[in-house]
Amino acid sequence: MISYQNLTIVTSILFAVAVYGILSRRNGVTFIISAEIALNAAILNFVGGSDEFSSLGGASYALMILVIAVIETVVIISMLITYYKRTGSISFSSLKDLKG
Amino acid sequence: MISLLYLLIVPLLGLIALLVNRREKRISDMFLLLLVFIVDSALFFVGIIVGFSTFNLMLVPSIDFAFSLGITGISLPFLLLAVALPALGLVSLYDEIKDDRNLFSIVYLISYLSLIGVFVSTNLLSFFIFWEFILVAFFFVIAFWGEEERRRIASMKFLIFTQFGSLTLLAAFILLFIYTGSFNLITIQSASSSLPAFIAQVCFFLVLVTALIKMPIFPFHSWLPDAHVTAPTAGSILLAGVLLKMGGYALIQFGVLLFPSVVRSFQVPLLILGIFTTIYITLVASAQKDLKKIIAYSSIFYMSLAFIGAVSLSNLGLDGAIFLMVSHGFIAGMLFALAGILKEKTGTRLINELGGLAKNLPMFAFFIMFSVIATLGVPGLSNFIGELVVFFGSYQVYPFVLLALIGALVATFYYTNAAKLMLFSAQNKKFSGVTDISTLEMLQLGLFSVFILVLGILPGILFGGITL
Amino acid sequence: MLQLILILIPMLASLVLVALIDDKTIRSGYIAVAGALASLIFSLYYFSVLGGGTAVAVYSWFYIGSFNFQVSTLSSYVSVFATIIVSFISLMVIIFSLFYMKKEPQKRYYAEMSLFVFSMLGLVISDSLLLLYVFWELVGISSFLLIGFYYEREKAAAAANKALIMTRIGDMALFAAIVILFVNYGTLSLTFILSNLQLLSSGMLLLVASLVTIAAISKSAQFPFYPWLPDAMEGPTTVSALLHSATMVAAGAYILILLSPLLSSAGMGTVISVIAIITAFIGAFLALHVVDMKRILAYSTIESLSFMFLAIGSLNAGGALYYLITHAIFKSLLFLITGALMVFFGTQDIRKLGTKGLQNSWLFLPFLAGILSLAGFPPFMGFFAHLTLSHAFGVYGQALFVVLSFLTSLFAFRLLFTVFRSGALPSKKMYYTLSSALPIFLLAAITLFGGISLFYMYGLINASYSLDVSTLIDLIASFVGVLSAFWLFGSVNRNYWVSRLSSFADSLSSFSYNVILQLIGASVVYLGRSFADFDDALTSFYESVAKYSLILSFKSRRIEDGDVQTYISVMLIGLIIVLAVAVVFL
Repeated sequence: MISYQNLTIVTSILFAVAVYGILSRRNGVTFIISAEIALNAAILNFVGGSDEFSSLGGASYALMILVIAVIETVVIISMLITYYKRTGSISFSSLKDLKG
Repeated sequence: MISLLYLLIVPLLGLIALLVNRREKRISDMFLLLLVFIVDSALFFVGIIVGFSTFNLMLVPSIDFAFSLGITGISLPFLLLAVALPALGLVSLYDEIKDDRNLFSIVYLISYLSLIGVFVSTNLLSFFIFWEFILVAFFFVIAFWGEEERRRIASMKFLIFTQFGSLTLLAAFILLFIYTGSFNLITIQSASSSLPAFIAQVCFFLVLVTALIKMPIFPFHSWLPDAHVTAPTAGSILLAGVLLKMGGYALIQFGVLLFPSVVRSFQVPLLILGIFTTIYITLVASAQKDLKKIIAYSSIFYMSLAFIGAVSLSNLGLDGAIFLMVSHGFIAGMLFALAGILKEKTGTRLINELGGLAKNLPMFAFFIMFSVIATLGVPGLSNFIGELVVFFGSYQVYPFVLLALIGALVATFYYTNAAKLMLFSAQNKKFSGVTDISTLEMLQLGLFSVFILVLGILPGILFGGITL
Repeated sequence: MLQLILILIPMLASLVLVALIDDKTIRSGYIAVAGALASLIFSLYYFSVLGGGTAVAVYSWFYIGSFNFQVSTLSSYVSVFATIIVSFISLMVIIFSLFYMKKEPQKRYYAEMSLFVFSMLGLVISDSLLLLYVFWELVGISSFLLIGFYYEREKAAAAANKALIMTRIGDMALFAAIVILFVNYGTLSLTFILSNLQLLSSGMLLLVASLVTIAAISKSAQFPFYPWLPDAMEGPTTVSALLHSATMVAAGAYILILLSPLLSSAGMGTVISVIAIITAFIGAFLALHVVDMKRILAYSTIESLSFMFLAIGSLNAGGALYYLITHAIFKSLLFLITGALMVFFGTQDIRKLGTKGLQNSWLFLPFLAGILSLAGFPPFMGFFAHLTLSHAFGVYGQALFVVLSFLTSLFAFRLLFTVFRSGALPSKKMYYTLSSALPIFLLAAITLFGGISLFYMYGLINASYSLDVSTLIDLIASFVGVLSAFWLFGSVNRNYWVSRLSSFADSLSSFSYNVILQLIGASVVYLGRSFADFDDALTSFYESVAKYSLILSFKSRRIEDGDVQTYISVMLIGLIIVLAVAVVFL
């Protein structure tokens, strides 16, 4: 099979790409996509780890993350829809009330 | 015996009255200030005769923070300045400050209170608190009542420079606390010789930096000219008259008197710095055209002479330095008052735009000549004694202090030149309608002159109040 | 036993009273006259009770800790004679001022004059160098105020400043000398110092002597500090009569007279003599050149002072003192007559005055007396003064003195012949008043008959005189000078020779000295400018530091721009850093 080491490299790259996506995306939908990618990278890593260390903990944790990912996505999309209804755009640039 | 606390309570009551007056607007603010000053001066002079008693109030024992007041060996001369100068500056306040006089009076009175507090505190923390009050008060004076164009910059420069000096002073105090366990001046004085050598050196250098910034000495003097030029006259009088002397007081009280061995080992470089400053600064002063800048730079000159005296570690040098500081306080105060009057009457302080003022303003010219003669160190007036004793005290240590006399020579040149450009020679047509100084101003300038004359003829009065 | 201080009190009182009392109540001049008279009477009284030798009275001024700053006064024949001459000449000049200064502001004038006389009297009775320095400075300040009396005139104000600055150099030198002496001796009493000169190393002695010499030559307008004196003629003529001929400028010579033991131990005699010779020639030649009567007298004063310095240089302090006294009398006489002429005719130009036919006026004879005394002819006082003056000259000194005698006569009689020509007098203008005539005639009489005093005084002031071949040669030289002056200036058609002489003197006077002075002045100004620019650069350095920190602050502000993603990235970076640190250190 694929060695754990290589798997970790792949998931790290995936995660890095996803973080880049989170940080630099203005568009709300692409933001969600990047968040998904990050979560999935983490899941992949957990599954690989469960295989490597012969433990079921990794796999069960991966299942938990999956569920949470779904819920979180639902929440984000509903917030995005409300935001769209209010401002008519799906870009985050006007969210600056915390400016100091 | 008069408790020193009374000297502070009176201004405090005055402050409360001023605050109340802000709402009610019944009595004139000037009258309140005058009352406070008269009462406090009376207390002070009576106290000199009958003696002062100390006051002690422990606030936080664990860090030895006590509000304790007492007359240290060198307090009295500075106290004279602190009590007299704000009173004398009152006339300039009345003349110049037009917007929100009440607020200015409040700030003024806060400075007055803190000035007295600085010179009578025997607990280092309360000393520091008063010190900081003055700084902040003066920042406001310059920032809100100063001259339009440069006041933001000047006040910021003033604040940052002197605040940095306060930091080093605080660091020195904390260091002393760590090694002696107390903030009380007398305890520290007896314990200072038992400090490890390295700590003593560090402490001294921290205090030295504070003094170099405050007095000021090259290269930390850049805040002074701007601060003086933009400050209102009453502020300048206090700035040159007392604030700079606070630096000298700190140098002597917390530097020279506590760590004489450290001073001795670095004496020659310090003296050279002082001498260099005198010559450098008078040359800079000779190129100035703004009267206030000239006076500001020459203040640095006299403070560096005092610095030389203080660092020379001899009895004569220290006494002379203190005397010179007091004498210069009055003389600089008088000069700034005159500069303020000049600005009010002619609208300019640039000496090459003026001319022939002596014709219309003979009393003004008289006082200008008096103060020029006083500042040049002519015998009979106080600066002479100060310079004389400083040189007597420091020559033994380092003969080259006589080079500072070159500075005195250049000072003659630019002062007489300034007087000539302002007062003598042909009259500038623009000023033919200017009237002479008012009775109130004459009173103020006359009082200044009396102090300068009396100190010059009977210097024993001041020297008797110093015990080293 | 009366204290010497008493001599000072009248003039101090005069100063205060004149300042306070309105001129309408009592005329300020009368107060001043009363003060001067009282001082004179006290001086004479003091002279009569002076037993002999020197006495020192000590007063305590102030204490510093355990150290007592004392001041002391000296009563010896030297100081008492000095007080007599100072108060007498002051009296004469103040009386004359009643006439001369009638149209000028009174209070200020008499107050400043009183201040001056007070300071000068104090100077000559001081034993303590501290007291002497106090009065030395005060004399300088009153001179400054008096030269600048007509302050609306640009020239007067400039002249006053110039005088103050030039003499201040000397003041600083004297101050430095005092500091050195104090540190070495622990006291400033002259009598103590002079009797203990061996305590100083020879290097120190030389240094102190040099400093004192610089002080003296700046106050007495010797080379290179002479230019302030001719310019000082911008002040009222009475001021020139008192300060710049008789008293203040003599202070420099006086201090050297007092300190002559110091000078001889340090070996400064030669230096002083050289300076004096140079100055003498400068004075003489420039007196030949100028046409302003006061300036001629000013240059003549410079020359006479250099005679005093020559005497001091040859260690003949007594001779210098006697010459000082003599010079005070005839020079003030000449100046007062000049003042009278200015009041009558409004001009100082000798060519214009020559057209007024003054030879027939009452001023001619006194002026002649003064000139003859100046040139050193018997039986006038000047002759006797020259006797004691040249007593100790070496061969070169005698030779030079001969030449100088010739030149002195030349310019003196040039002045006389040019101004006092025969002709018709404008009768209305030249009137007598008591205040103008009394001083002039009294001084003239003294300079005519006073020579006898030498024989009385010489023992008391340690002067000696010699009447020998050199005296005769000097007289012949002076007489030749008179003849030459008569030939050149006696009538108006010798213009060719006069202009030759004039242009020679002119080239000498425009010789680069003034240029050097201007160079010094310009370089000081340049230095000042460049230091000021450096200081401005220093200030702007601090301000730019502040500016950069402000820019830094703006840039760092972007972290807080309200954008969530910025916050997230910052948190991430922080997290990475913390993790890295944890990994490295744990």
